[in-house]
Amino acid sequence: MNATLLRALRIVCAAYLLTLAAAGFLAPFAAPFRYETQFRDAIDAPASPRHPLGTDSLGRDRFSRLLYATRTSLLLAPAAAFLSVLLAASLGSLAGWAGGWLERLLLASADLAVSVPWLFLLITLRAALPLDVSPLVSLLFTFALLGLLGWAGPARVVHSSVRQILASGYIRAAQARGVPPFRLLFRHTFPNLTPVLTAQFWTTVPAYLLAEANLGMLGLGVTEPLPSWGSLLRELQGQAFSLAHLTTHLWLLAPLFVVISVILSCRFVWAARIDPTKVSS
Amino acid sequence: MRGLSRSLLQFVCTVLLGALLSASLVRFAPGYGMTEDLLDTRLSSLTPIDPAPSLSAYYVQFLAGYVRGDLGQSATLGRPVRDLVAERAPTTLTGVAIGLTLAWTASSLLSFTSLYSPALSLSLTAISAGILQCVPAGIVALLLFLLGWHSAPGAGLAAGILVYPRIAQYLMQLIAQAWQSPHVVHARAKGLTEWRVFLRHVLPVCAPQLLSLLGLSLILSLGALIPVEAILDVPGIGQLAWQAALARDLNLLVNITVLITALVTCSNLLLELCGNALRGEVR
Repeated sequence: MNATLLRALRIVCAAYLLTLAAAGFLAPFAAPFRYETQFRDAIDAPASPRHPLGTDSLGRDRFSRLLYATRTSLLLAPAAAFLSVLLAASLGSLAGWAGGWLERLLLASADLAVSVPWLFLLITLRAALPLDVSPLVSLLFTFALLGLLGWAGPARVVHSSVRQILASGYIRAAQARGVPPFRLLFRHTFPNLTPVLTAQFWTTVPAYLLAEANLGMLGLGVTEPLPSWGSLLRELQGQAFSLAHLTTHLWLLAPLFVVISVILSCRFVWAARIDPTKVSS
Repeated sequence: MRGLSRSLLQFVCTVLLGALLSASLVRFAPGYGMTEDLLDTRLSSLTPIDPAPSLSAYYVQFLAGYVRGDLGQSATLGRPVRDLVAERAPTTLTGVAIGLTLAWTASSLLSFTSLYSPALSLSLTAISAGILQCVPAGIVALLLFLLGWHSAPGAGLAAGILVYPRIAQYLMQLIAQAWQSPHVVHARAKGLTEWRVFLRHVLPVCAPQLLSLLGLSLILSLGALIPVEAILDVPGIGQLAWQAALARDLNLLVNITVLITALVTCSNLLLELCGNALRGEVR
């Protein structure tokens, strides 16, 4: 693909993400109604100037809920990704730096964590949460779980990067000059890990957005009345009677459009920085 | 031999550790050991209250049950976990088999296309995998449900659609790298046909990584089957896990997770052994 076109597309995607993030963060001011406000005279109402995306089965304005859900998902998925990358950076660096039994133990733990289908683990831990917790606690717990369970893959990448850095010439030269180990780690190793950690962060965010969407669709994500993209997609499950019904009620697909477009934009801006067509045979 | 014993040790440790974590989760879950009698003051004064066992005692009971093949009872369905899993495993395994076959076939076809038109093949992979990676599993299942595919093959198709992006991207990357390696360039310079180079020089080099990818795709497809079976109403293990999660039937849920982890670890161990054997042959 043309490099100029790629750059332009990347800018468009970044602008879209920023606009959506701003709309989400300003939801209390930008949304016409609160996410829990019910309009009992307009249950399951179609799209109208008052309710641009209609109302749900409890009479709540879908557009307002979508804005609040955007705030929830766009704030907490990066927070969970940050937690994962922080854990991965700490444990991966420790494994690469310490070597020996500690390295073997940490890598074996990472292998174990990777070998568990994590949706099974996630729903198991999510199900252990008591029923009487507030929606906010369930929200924070869901994303904290995502952050805590996703460390293993990035940790392996960080570990191999640290090993590579430690084997490089400038580290050997620094060691030979008697630079203390901590200075070597913080001044010479960590700064060189930044690109790896940034890449891991931006590939983890879409994965967590998808995981939350799946959990929400299963009814195991954020609890009502707090909206998230997952819980809005769950509503689609109850409304999608047939394909024909969906084509005449296109506003129902708005949350799906937002989820797919955000994940696509994230991937495009951050993960697809290398033009695949340049990898020639 | 040393590698095999190390891998076996790792497998045993994984199962023991997984069982310990699971036992801890069940033992310390809210409401553990509570019955309706205990919640009713009239009945609880008549019924002697059994003190809950300590974690170590509970873990020993848990492991002893495993050794006997007794996985306990499902609190909500009132049936032995072993029977429930045995009943539903064939449906899930059929779905996994269909999904993996479809995903691997599609990815392999795309990688074969790279023999004739690498740029087209890479672009096709990037576009198809890039788009499919952005769709939540539940939405794929919902779409198939609307199309009338609510059966085990439908779940398999959904799993295939969801696993395909990872396999296709990795496979293409792997083959593109192998295609650039010196021995392949040398073979092509000698005038060997593209197919001969691919089958004799590219595939053997990629085989160990392909086996690792097969292990990864198994994990992905098992994970994908939870939302897919739940939404398509297919009576498999994914649906059972979802029902257990909704009903907070932790004994059933943790047993399913431990069994799935053991299955995945075991298959990864076998694939690793095959990979090591192949590496030795390539050398």
